[in-house]
Amino acid sequence: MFRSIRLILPVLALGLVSAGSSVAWADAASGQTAAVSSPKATIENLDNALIATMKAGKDAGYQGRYKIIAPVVEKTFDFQRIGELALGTDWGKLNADQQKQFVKVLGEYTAATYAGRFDGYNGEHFAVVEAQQLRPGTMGVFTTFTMKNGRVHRFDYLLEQADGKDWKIINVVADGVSDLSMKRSEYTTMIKSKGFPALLAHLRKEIQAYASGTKS
Amino acid sequence: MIVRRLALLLGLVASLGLSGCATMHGPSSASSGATDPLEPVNKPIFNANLWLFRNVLGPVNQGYEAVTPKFFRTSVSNVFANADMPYIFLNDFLQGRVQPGMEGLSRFLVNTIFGLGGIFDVANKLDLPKQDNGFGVTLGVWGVPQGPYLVLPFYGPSSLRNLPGMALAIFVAPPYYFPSSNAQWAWGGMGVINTGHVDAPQVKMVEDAVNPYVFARNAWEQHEQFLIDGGKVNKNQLLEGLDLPPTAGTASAANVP
Repeated sequence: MFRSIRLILPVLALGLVSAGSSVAWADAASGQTAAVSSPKATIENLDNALIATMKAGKDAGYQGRYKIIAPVVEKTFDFQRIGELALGTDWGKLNADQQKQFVKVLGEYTAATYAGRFDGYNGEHFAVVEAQQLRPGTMGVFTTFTMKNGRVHRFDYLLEQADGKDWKIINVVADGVSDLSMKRSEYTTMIKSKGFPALLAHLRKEIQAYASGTKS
Repeated sequence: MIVRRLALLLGLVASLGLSGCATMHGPSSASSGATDPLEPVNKPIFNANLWLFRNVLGPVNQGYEAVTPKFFRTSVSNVFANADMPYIFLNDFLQGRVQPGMEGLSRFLVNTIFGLGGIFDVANKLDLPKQDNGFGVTLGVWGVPQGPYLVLPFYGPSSLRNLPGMALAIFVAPPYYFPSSNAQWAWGGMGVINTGHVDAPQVKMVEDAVNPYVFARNAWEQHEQFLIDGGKVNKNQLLEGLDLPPTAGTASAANVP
């Protein structure tokens, strides 16, 4: 049962989404006004933080891993843009407060996922293969994730640069599976069937599950 | 003979990581369910599979983990993974992908000979990891369209194009050549237990998704297309989501270099 998706799901866990408790989320990346990063540097920054999170492992606990990855996730992902794209026409139906809540929860959920699932290191490593402009203001950064046994997974990122600021991730395609596509199809279906509050509640429940250790 | 076929099928369904095939025409079509005209049938089967996993295989796995040491469970899963290999490298060759085919063949020989029939995964230490493949992928490489997305009882995500691969897998897998049906039944039974053990974390991940059915379908379809494309990146796929509302009209995926 589900044999055919067995191998890709761990990859999804790695490449898609990401952070745990809501502790200090809002403050995590505030005040970060360093020089504008390149797309490649953005991805390398995330990869380094992921490796650090994995190496911190179970000894650091969920909160320890969250503190490592959350600030980097907030700095490297554009959750406002991801939220807009993931919800499509539903985004415009939300009021400003709902949009703000969704962006915040999306960021926390992403960091929670990374902190919850990246709890061990076994010699894995990332490498940036290529960075290529796909169209003005949009770059693709193509990377590999190599396991200890030599198995190579692909993680391909789409980044945008708004107003000359840092390049930020708006989509991750892990072994061919697009995070944005997955989010969009799942989230819009949920909103259609159960409404926006149910979507928000589901994501918050998942975040809490990671934080409490009932989910990993 | 029927019993033997049933035993084989049971074992194969349980033991083979059959990566079937499916075509993903991009995020928009996947999300709209354009390739899922059988959703009214698929969804109840999907829910029944989840129920079965939660209420049968899950408890069986708990018992399995309670009475067996970890090295035993690892060895069992290694043996079943090794039994998948002929099906995997055969499809590599059918797709004209010689290098992964040779690597798969080498992995199978190394683990069968030096890993004592696959009990020990020696090939992993030689940078010969297991890859995904299936006859559905082969048909996709040959240009056969996916056909409707299917959810099969006990098996999970599949498609019309994937079904012939299940028959092929029966003849390629080592259990077909077992001398007795008792051995095949034993293999099949152990395969079911192993499936419950190996798949448990992934099934939990599906269950935790915002929409488990949509999650499983999209992940499966997109990954199938990735395999058909030979693990190459579809740059259109990276860009495609950008043209969705409310930002439509900025550019076209056709502009991808």
